[in-house]
Amino acid sequence: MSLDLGGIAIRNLNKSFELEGRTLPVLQDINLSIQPGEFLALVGSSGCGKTTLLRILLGLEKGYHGSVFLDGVPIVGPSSERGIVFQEHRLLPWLTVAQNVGFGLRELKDAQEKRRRVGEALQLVGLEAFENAYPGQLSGGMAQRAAIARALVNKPRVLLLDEPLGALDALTRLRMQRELDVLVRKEKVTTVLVTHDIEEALYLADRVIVLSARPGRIKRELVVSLARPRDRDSREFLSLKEELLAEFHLDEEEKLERAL
Amino acid sequence: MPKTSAAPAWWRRRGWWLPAALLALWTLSGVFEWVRPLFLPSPLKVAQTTWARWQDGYLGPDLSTTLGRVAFGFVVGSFLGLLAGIGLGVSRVGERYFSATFNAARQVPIPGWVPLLILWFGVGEGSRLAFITIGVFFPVALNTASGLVGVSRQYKELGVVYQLSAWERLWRILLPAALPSLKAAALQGLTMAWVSLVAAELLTSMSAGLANQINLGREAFKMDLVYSGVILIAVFGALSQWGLLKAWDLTLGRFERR
Repeated sequence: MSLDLGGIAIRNLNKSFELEGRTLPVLQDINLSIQPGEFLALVGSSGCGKTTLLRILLGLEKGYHGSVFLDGVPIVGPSSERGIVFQEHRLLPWLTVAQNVGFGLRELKDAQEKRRRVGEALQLVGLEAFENAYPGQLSGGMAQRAAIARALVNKPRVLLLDEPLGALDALTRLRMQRELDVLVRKEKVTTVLVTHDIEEALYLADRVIVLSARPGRIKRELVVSLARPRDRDSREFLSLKEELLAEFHLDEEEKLERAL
Repeated sequence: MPKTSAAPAWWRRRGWWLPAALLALWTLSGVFEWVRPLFLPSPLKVAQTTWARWQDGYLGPDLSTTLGRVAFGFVVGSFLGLLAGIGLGVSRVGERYFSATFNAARQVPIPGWVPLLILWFGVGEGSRLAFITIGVFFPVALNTASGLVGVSRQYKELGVVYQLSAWERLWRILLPAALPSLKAAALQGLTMAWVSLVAAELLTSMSAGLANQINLGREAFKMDLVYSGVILIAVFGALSQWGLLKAWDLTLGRFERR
């Protein structure tokens, strides 16, 4: 994907949910520009609206105020320009891995081209040997890799990741973070990662956005300019982590005070 | 899938023990006349009667009539039930407009339909077929609808994300995901086909059919005829279910992976 496509602009975004007649603000005054090819992480405690923001970028969430653009064009619904990986792999259990990956390519009619693209995507995530396996036969990490292949098979401009590693065990998670790091560099695709794992955000992202909880507001913006692959034990990494953690604790304290 | 058990044949066939024991007990009771033969004819007598009816050319038509009715009611009722179930289970509009009517109609016990059906379709075969079709229709529609409603939101969202048309969503996501419920729908439909068949043959006037044979036996107090009919219905009912499951596994089994 060429580096000049995949730019996202979010302008004056406000979103609220109606709950039992009350209006619950979820996102407030979000203004954010994401550069083509940038890896952005959205972090925040649960309920801060980070997943809602991602669903707006995906085109699933409607009824908000403000505007969201991809390369200058308003986002009005889902599109093959934007690939998504959810926390659950959401592979269809009755389709093989290759068929699942091909699900993202259904508009492509040329069967040979389709096979080639699916093969390419599977190779990208190292699953080429499992194209005929069924999702039920895969480990959690492998299933999530297949879901990543499905999201990338269309060569989207933007890759949206909704806590994609959240359900994996700790070791698999570390390995997948390394793989994702390499993969996204190689594909040069604009990536937005939603996570509650600060370390994951710091390891992967060029920029980390911290959202405050209820309503979700941009509270902190942190550019991570450490060289890749990043060393989680380096002093710089640890001090950034400390900084972000402090934001979280502040948030918790505020909530506590309000409650008291 | 390799056969998992190296267990001996007699153990693997343990499902046959109970029927075999019942048959043995029944035979013994015939030999020792524990019950008056008038009420409980021996298995041999029942077998002889069945065979004689076959040879006299009564059983063949009875059998084909009954099986034809079951097949018709099952196929037509399942098809209509599937359509109605899809209408109720997929679209909120369908659910809003029709679920009240549907739920009221299905509360009517099937025999309650008889007078109406006779009015609409006459006293002949038409009423009987309509009767069985209705019996199949409701459980199939109900199971289909609840299966489709129960498809997880996560799968449904996939259809939105990949911008599938309504038809593609149904065909590529909803129906395969609801397949276990559809199987339950088919099995219940088949059971209801047999239940309604017997009711239809007993409630409407004389015609061929296995249940009709039971009726004849009752009226003439020929218990061998009654037992023969009951056993034939049990055997063919079990066979039809076995066949349905086999056919299902061969065609749709691969979609049932979870």
